[in-house]
Amino acid sequence: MKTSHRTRSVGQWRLAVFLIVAGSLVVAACGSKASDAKTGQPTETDGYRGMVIMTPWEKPAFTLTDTSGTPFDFLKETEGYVALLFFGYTYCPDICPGHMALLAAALKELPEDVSSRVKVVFVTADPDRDTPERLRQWLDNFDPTFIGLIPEGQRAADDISRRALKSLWAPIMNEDLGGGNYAVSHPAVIIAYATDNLAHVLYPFGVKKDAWVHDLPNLVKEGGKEQ
Amino acid sequence: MKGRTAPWNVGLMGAFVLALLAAASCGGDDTGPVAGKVGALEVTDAYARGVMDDVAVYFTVKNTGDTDDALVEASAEVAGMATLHETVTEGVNVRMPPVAEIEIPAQEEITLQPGGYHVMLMDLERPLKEGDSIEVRLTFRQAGTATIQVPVVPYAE
Repeated sequence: MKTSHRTRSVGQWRLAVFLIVAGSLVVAACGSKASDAKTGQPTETDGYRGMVIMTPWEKPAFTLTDTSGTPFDFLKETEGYVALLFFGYTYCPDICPGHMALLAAALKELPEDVSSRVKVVFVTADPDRDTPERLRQWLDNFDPTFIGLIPEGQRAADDISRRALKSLWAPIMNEDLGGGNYAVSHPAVIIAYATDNLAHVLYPFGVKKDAWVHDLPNLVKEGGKEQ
Repeated sequence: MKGRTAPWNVGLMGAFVLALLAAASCGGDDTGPVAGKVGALEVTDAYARGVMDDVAVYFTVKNTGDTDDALVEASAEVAGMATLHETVTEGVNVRMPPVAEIEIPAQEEITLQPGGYHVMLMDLERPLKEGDSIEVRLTFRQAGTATIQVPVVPYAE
């Protein structure tokens, strides 16, 4: 795993919060500047507006059924792409549609050579209610290219989120709302794996479209796998 | 799943919440003004967002009076069920527990917003779409009930 050296510019939005979590260092970097990992020279990317994972995470291996009923091998299908992994559910009125809507808007704004190299993977944390049809219909409200995956039971979703989020993981579970309704606790972050197959950045809820527009081209370039 | 809790280090969680707040502050929202008045309370800037059959309603309540009040109930004709919620971030996880009431202290202004408090409409009789306007009744412990018209808006940028 390579080591990233990042310096932050001084600005109104400068805020660095360092989290040492089992060897991972996550930095909130609004308006950071990146430098090349090997030479220390500034690169053509100018860092990330998401929360940078200083020791990038490996991609978890898993295969789940997609909304068309076809097995989706996460490692294989996202090889060479930026993979944006999110665990959510369609009855989520706040966090999940917010994330998806802004991401869809950002992808529409970006040139095709960037957007075509990004795969958005939505793993439902509520497989009991999110049927393939329902999840497809919900995702189509944002972008028909978004990939919806349905684990066999909530525990399977939880297991993948644990492997993906490592020490930041907290359990996916239901909370009864009465009347047959329930809410699902789930990760609020989108995990961004760059083209080098490592997670470099986390996007918490509240991240804006402009941050995606800024960061996605850099994620496509990350790891020197530029085409 | 019962009884499983995340063993969060409090300091770490605090740092993470700060980081989340920082990221959340990287831009601004804008919404149109829709007002409703009841007693010393004024409800403004109401909007609803949702996809398919789950909708969240947000607004600001200003209490110009000298008595503490609280939002205790919400309802909408288009929804079979409406509940008050708070989006709670625990580490990277987010929960959406129902809350019994949302306090509106005297001389204060409380804003329901994404990532915080919201009214959730469930069991909708029809899917809502951008441009729709829905009637929502808000019941406050002291002031009584305010009826507001809430536009369904797209997700802010």
